[in-house]
Amino acid sequence: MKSLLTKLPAMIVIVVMMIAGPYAMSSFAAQPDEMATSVKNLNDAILEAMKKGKEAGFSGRFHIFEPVVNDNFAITTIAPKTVGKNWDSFSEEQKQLFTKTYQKWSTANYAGSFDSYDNETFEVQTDSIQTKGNAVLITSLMKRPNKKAIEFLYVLQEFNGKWLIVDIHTSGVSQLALTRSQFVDLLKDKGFDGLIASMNDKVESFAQNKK
Amino acid sequence: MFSKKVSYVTVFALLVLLVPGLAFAITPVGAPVDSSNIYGISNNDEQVGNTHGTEKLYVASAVSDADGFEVAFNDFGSSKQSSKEASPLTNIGNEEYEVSEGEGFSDPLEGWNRAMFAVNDKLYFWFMKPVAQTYGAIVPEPFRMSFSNFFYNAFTPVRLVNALLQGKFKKAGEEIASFGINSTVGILGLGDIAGSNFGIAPSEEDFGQTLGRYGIGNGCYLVLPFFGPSSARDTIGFIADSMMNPITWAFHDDHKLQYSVNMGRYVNKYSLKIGEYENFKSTSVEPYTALKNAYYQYRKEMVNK
Repeated sequence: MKSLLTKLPAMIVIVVMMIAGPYAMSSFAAQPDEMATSVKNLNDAILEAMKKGKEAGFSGRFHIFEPVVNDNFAITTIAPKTVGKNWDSFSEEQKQLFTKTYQKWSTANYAGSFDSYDNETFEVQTDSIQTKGNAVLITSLMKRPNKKAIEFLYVLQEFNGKWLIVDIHTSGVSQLALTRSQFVDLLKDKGFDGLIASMNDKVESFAQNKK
Repeated sequence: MFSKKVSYVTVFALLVLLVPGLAFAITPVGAPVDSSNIYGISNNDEQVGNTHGTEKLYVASAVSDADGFEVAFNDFGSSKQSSKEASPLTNIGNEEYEVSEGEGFSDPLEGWNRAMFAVNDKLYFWFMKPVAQTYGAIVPEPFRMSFSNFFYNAFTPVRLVNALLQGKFKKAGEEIASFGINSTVGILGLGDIAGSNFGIAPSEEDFGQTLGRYGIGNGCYLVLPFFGPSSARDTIGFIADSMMNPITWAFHDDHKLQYSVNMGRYVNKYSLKIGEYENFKSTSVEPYTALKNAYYQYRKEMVNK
């Protein structure tokens, strides 16, 4: 009996751990819905921009995407990766200018691309999230009437408790790698100023675009 | 006189046949583009009309950056979590997500390739797009999608042979089943019953992939006149697939008819894809490099999957 009483505290601790353990663990584990928030936010913005389309014009759509790109993409992480090793040779001012221009260019790409609505809907597949290293991969389907759905595979990483988009794959093509191939070539051919000018030209052409 | 006229007709037919190979529009960041086989040439790529299933996403594989850090992204599936309840993910690791730097085609023929890129660009805007747009305005989309299904079904032998050569027996079985169903219930392949009722997703197998599967490298980057981006290996594959092309066999004694049927196939296909190349160009700061890189990534994925 005495022996049982001696062991009681330890038994209680074990029982409590068994009951509370899973709850404690789950509070540290990532929740799929939380991880997909950035993707859902982007999808919402895409739908809004498409629905407002030409009525909003490029600038209207740019304003829709601007806060969404800022808040849901890891811009300060992506921007250095898009220029590869060249980043280290940039001055602080150049780094800031490039990051700002990259953000504007990315936003303009969305605003220029999503300008009309044809009853598309999005489905984010939070029940089949994949992981690789410190990244998670979330598939988002864009469903289109009478056409195949398009799969976008979003790569997200956690930054201060928030999961942000760092890359998008379509048909096996990493948009980050695709962007880097162009930026690195432009840096080699035209230098830093040439790259910035090319990105600004793109934004300008979207702004003046026929779309 | 007659032969001169015939030669004009032949040149015209060739142009119309070849131009649609500009199939290289790529998706800008997140843009809604039907991306089936848009990164380059293929002889058995009639998928645009299929409405079932999804555009598959695959992840570029085995990448390494300049610092020597390496992650093979083609095994993403190994840590896939699938749960209806969407339970918390607990297998998130520490390795930094990276994509390759400096990986891609060698381009010793850059002068030629850039010139062909410019030619193809003009041909698309000046010739192929207006033709496909006019055709699209005349023929309703459901009909064009049915034609696309028909050609996809007719090209089954090419995909089947390549699936078998790559040891993809399940895929080969699906090709046979799909062909059987669509050729009968689907009325000569005009309908895609195999996809809509039996869930058999369209596939894409070509001889360039087969060679890649056997360990043969890309060789140099090569932009073909009219056909668009390719590589030394994929050009050989393209020629081999052309020999297996059922249109080649069906009309082997009537080249004009052969070109006409191919012309119809390409025009039909492009009428369903107008806008993709424009999107690609508008979101690229360096379209030549972008296309080369996209084609590299895409083909690498196709070989590895």
